[in-house]
Amino acid sequence: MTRAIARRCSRMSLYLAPLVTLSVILHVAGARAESVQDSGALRGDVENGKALFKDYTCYGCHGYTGETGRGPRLNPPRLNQDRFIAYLRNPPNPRQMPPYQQSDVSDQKLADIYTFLQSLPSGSPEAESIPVLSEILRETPR
Amino acid sequence: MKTSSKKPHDTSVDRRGFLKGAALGAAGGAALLADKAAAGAEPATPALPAAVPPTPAQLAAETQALPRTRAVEAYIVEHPGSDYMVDVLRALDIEYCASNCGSSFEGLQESIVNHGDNRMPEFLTCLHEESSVAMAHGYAKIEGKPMMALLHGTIGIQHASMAIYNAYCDRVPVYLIAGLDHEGPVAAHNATDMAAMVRDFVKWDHQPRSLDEFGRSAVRAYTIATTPPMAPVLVVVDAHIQKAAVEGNPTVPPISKPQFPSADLGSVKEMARLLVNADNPGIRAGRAARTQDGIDLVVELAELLQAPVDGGSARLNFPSRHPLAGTGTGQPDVILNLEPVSRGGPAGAGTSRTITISTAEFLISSNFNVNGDGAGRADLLIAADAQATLPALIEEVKRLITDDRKRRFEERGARIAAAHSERRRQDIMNARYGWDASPVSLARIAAELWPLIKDEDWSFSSPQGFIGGWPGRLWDMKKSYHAIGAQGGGGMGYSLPASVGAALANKKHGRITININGDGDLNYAPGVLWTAVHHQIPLLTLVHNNRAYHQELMYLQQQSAARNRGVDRAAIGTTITDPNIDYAQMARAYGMYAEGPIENPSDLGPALRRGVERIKAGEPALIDVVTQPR
Ligand code: HEC
Ligand SMILES: Cc1ncc(C[n+]2csc(CCOP(=O)(O)OP(=O)(O)O)c2C)c(N)n1
Ligand SMILES: [Mg+2]
Repeated sequence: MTRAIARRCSRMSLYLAPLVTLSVILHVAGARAESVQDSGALRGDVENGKALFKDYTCYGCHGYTGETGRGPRLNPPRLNQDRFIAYLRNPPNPRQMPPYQQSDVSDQKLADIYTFLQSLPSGSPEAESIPVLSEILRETPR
Repeated sequence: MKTSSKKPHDTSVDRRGFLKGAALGAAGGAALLADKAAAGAEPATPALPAAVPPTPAQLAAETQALPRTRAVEAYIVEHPGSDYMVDVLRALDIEYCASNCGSSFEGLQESIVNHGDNRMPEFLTCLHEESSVAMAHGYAKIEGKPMMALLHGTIGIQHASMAIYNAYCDRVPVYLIAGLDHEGPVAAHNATDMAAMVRDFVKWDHQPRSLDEFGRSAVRAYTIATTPPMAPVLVVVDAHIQKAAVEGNPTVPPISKPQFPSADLGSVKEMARLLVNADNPGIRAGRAARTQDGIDLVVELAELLQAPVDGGSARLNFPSRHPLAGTGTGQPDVILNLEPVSRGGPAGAGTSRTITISTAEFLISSNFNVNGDGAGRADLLIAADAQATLPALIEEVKRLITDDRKRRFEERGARIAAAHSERRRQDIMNARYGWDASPVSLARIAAELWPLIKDEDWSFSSPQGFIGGWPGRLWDMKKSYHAIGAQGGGGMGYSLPASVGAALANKKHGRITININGDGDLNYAPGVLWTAVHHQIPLLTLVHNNRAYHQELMYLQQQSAARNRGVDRAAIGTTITDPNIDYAQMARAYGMYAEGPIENPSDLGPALRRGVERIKAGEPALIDVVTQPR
């Protein structure tokens, strides 16, 4: 954990400073694991994130585009990068969402996944714009 | 010997028969595990004569017999025991015999095709015994009566065993006959006690010692299989009895039609009192509705009480779009479990009473954990068949409802209907997620199928657990054959053969069948694709091709996380890639119309349309859709 903090501090870019402050504030109210995390935003790599999303089988529970499956939608991610990383390290229900605690799963790798998720276009048009769904919606009343 | 010059496609229920069935469609009314016989609506004995008149070939053989040497005279048996066996099977109304051939029953097989002219039962060529039995499983869930699977010796029984287990767990009758030939070519195909290896999960088995005894056990087996809790039965037929000449003129023993076990009057009154006095009762149905009547009865009870019905996924117990469908609102104070699938116990804090009507305690297996914890914990546990009990319960509930209660019920009903309608709206809205994604979303498959089938007489034959339950969420399911649930015992390799069996039953009603089939499930015994083509069974199979045993991939990922290692290795042993399997090519190899792999969601709709056209024309088709994992 200490190593991770050091790594993240060193990578913190100045121009992100205002965001950092905001994340720190958010983290005060967060879980213990989050409060020990530093809060800089890492610059992620989309291609690497895409590969890791597959290798770590995130797609298995969140769908290849983060929009389907057993877990909640991740496209676009609801949490900011820090909270996202903290969540993956210590998800509240580890039996549902597996914790990614392994030492070689670096914050940078999780940031890559985060960036990949941010980069994804939405594949989810409004239901009203999908004729078959609108039709089924109209059929509903018995 | 009679030879058939007909092409394979003509030997089965032919296309004309299919179309004629279509005309009768509405009246067909296939039932889920029908208890018509017990209800007295229809005799279990079919109208067909038990004894089959001799065929022209047989007549010719008898009237114009050529001179015979003594050796030939001793060799020829013109009235073998297995002819009588076929007469019995016909009297039992057994339409089909699914089988992978084997010498232990060559006598019976010969009688089916020649003495019985390959009708009632018709011999269906199967490429694996697991397919034979799973086909019979699916058939029975549509047709409400068993068909037969004919198994070759110890080896056929072993191949069949998992499918037998599934049917047993699912309380579905399958009529099993296994051949035993002590003089057969391979001694290892015989055992001292043939049924021993599946005895824990057949309801009854017998090995008759004579032809007379075969008649009695065949009839008894049928009655036992079709009395709730329904389950597979196994009769072992010695080759010698099949082949020896019939002595005398044995008749088919009378077929008994028992009343199904229903709750006693005291229990019915107690249940009715609890339900009518409850503030917020809830009904949960597992394998409650064996037939359309079962669904109608659950609807009647729910509407009287204005109580929500959680219909589960093991059978279609309740119409999907009924305003009372779902779990209702708030914590129920009384729960009525109707044939719970496994744990039917209390819902948790706040639930004051749980009533369970279940036949689980009648279907025990001393070794296997078939019923989980049986009927589950209940304050009032009634060992009876739920569907058979409902008429009395409904009458008693009617008697107890006062005008005041009725007003309260109506208010409650309005709340439940509002919750139902909101949930449905949400389900439909949620189907949009990943709509344009590649691979294709499961919601999109179900949504795009619906307009293609909704004006047809349709049947959905596969489990919904691995496909997000989308058909049940989006389609108007109200007939018993609109959904027939899952494997029963969770044994994979069920969906494809059970769907072929279901489609076989649906065919004569002119009904089309849809199967959304996991790629893992499909690969256990894909030869049944050929059986569907050979017998021209109109089934549309959509491969839910996530290129994985995805359920297991998720488990493995969780296990790695729990040990904090190798979180990038869950694909080992759980994915079906390198190489990817080309299911369309596989289906074509079996002679089936096929398309795919479809990866672009916009290609899906047109492919589905072509697939549905094919099955409407009476032939099977397969479309390989590369899908999101879930
Ligand atoms: C075995 C299934 C599974 C896998 C694998 C999985 N998740 Fe999850 N994930 C879930 C479930 C289920 C939840 C919801 C947990 C809850 O409600 O407590 C979840 C929740 C989340 C959340 C919180 C979402 C929110 O908006 O609240 C994030 C972020 C997330 N997962 C990201 C990931 C990433 C990134 C990976 C891969 C590194 C991954 N998950 C792998 C099942 C999984
Ligand atoms: C006979 C048998 N073997 C193994 C299993 C374990 N198992 C449970 S789910 C599953 C995956 C099935 O794959 P598929 O049909 O493709 O469904 P998916 O999970 O990929 O949606 C397996 C192998 C089983 N249930 N039955
Ligand atoms: Mg799969």
